[in-house]
Amino acid sequence: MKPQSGATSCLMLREGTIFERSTPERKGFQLSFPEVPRLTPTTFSRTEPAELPEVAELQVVRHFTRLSSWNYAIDLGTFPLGSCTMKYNPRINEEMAALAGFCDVHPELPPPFCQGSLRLIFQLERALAEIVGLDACTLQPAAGALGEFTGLTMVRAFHEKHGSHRKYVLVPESAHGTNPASCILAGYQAITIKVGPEGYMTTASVEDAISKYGRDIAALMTTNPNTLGVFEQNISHIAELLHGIGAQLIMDGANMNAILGIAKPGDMGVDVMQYNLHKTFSTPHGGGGPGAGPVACRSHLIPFLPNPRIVHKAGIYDVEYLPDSIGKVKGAFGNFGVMVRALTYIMNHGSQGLRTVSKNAVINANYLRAQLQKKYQLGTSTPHFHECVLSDSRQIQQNGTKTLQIAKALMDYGYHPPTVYFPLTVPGAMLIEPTETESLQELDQLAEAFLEIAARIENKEDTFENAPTKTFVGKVDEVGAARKLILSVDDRPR
Amino acid sequence: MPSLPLTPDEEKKAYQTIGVHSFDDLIATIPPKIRETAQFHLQFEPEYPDLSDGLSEHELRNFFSQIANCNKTAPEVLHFLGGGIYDNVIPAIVNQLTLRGEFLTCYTPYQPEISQGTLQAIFEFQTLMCRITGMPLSNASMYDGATATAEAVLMAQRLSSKNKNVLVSNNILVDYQNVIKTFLSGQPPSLFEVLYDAAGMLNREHLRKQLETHQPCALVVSFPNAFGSLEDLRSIKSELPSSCLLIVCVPDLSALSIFEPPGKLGADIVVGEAQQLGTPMVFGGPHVGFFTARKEYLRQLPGRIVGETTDARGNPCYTLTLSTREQHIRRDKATSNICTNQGLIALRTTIYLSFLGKRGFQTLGEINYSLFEYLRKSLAHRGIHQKFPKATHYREAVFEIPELENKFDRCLQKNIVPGIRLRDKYGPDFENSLLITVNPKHTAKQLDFLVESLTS
Repeated sequence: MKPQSGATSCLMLREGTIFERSTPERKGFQLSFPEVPRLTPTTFSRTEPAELPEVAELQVVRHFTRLSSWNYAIDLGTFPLGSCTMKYNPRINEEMAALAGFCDVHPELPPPFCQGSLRLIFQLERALAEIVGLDACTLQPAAGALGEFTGLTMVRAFHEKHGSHRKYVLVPESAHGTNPASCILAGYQAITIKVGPEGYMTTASVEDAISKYGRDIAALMTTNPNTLGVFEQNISHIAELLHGIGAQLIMDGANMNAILGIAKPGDMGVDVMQYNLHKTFSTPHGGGGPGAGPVACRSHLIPFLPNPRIVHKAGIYDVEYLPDSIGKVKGAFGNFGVMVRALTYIMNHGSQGLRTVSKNAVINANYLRAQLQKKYQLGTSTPHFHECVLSDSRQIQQNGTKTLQIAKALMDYGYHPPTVYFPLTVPGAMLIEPTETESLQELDQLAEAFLEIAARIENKEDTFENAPTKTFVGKVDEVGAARKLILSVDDRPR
Repeated sequence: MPSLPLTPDEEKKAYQTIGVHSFDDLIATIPPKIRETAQFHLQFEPEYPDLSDGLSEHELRNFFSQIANCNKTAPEVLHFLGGGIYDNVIPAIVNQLTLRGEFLTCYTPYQPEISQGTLQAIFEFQTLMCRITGMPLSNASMYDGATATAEAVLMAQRLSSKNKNVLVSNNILVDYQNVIKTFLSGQPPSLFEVLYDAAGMLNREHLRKQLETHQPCALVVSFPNAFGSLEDLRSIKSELPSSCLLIVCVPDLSALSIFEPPGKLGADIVVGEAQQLGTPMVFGGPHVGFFTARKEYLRQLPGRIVGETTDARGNPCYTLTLSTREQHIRRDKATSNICTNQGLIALRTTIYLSFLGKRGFQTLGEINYSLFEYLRKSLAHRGIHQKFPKATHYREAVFEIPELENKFDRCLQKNIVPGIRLRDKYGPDFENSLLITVNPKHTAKQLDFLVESLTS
């Protein structure tokens, strides 16, 4: 039988930049000029018009449609990117977010004119707080990293309110890069703590840090399940240790997709955490955003949440400003359009459905792991949740093939590679998260690709140095890009 | 309930393959105490007091339409709101193309071989931002104008080895001022205000005093400022010592269609918001920030950058470049913590500007400018004047309206939102001040209606 899936070479259309399609005086989109005298400014007026392209409608449509055909996307195939949760984005979300009653709303409308938007924010905040077992939530942060910064800044405001000026935030070595970067932005020094041999934090390592830094520790920031896909089994004890010195437990909620209805961060002792709506609640990644990074917290941190807060009094939704708030972290109310999509998703599933989401995500990851471990070294033998981590150690031994080559080779089989070289605690890591929206058939095919690559390496048939070969462009010269910088059309050598 | 692929039979098969008996075996590493209390309840009063099973698409449509209908929008309501976020006319193709699954459901383009569409679109976005602002260097986008401005301040601090003090003109948008404050709250006090003068413009005398007292590494001004007035950037730049960068945030990027770009007027970093070019208001987001600067600041730029290169077959192609500035490589030494940015909205902006084109962009600016001039003259004719009349305005300005409270409420009753009241944002001097903004959807008739409503 002929293969039913995978990559193949077919007709793909080349396309220069939109500027190369331009022809002088060709008219594009036509705006109607209102019935007022046409005027141009007399001071500071622009002498040279901005050189925008001059292209007609079909040419714009063709240009961007051709570009789109060069992208890999969830709609096209399996996207096993660990930690990034590339699940299917249900289209009903898009339809709801596109309602004119949501799109045509200026954030400065007086509250009586925007009761719908205010209600939506209020109810989504409540739902997100309930899901993680915390007391309140803000939707203002525009993405996960800004959510991390928000949580950290709230923790700092809390300590300072109590006259305590602390210096350090403990971060496990397996953490996302944004964690230490957010600590610095929030005015803290990140102290790396070791992950135990089983792939999760030991209480001993936290006790060590406490004996060394004591009450200079403001918080510990951890992802749970962590970036190895492993549950932090000592989390409750670690929370007690931290609370014992007045420090806070911050959770990076990047991996919430694994534990909806299975474990509540609030029950683990977490004080504040951020969500990624574009991971857990299926809002589209869009080639790198927009996301949304809501922050949920326990009651003692509520006074420090960003302003303004949405309140519901006497049947009316309104805004309120808290005196001890950390202030604003983004313009207006946050990425409202992303919130509409997330709430649609939550209400589409209900509480039972969301539990099934996590359950199936965990089953899928373990099903895939069971097949992949036949040929690949596991990063840890501890049970995995929604993602599993492999290492390239066997392949390096067999013929020197590394993770990067395996990743590029997967493209030729029709797949997006997993997250590679992360977490840093596993050498040559491949972090694989299939998500709940893939079927077992699709996982079987992905596993087959992985195993065939492994077999070719084992048999010393290939090192995949030249992969990928079937993609629209061949291997990209990334070193050359950094050496000879061309960052706009106008940087090209003339 | 949504559609998930796993069937009950497949679930059993999966457990066999994994080597476990049930799902509980897979989550056995969670302490039982945590597992016991994990179930949550979803309340959406009054319609759904306990949403255990999900809603169907039909039910979702009903529920969300009903919520959306609680917002009062056009054509029921006529508004004159701006202040950094602007209503605009969006061509059909912008929504259609942006919704293509290949753009909507792709990932950050870390794997260039299978992400050329996104990468080339960002390269075009960078080019457009450079050409509009007159700056030579652009990144791939920021969250929004406010956070882009805060990141510009942080970049100026990194570029200055000695002094970290920054001056911010207090006539930039209040939201922008507040976000800068929060972004700098983790470091020793370094933020100082420069007041505006009686004309609403940067107070030069106070600027000189603050420059001398604080020896800042940067000054943040806006073009146009929060009162809609265009600052004289060239002359501001001439006041600054060479150690002090001029950061210009542009709350209304569309103004640069007809006004000189800050890049030609001495700016060192130009940042802001691009929402007004093809993205709906959506209650304040998602929008898209842009970030442009002089070439020599390249290594300190926050966020992602796309560069052109070649592939193994010698064809031109694109890739993310200079990633060693970024958090996933450099961790606590990164130039910013930003990871996810606004890729899809940057794509929208690119499609919109491509279709609007060189002449269309100019026309857009002229429409706004002409509508505003018409409104200004009509209001003046009826005795309503600007608070800061001397400055050049693009499409919005502050008007002094006697008994504003009453007039404002009467307008609301007629479903007109005549502008943004500035009292709560800029203090008691603005008791009767209203920021009125025009946009390309307005007609002459609607402006007449506004004038009538504010004066009768």
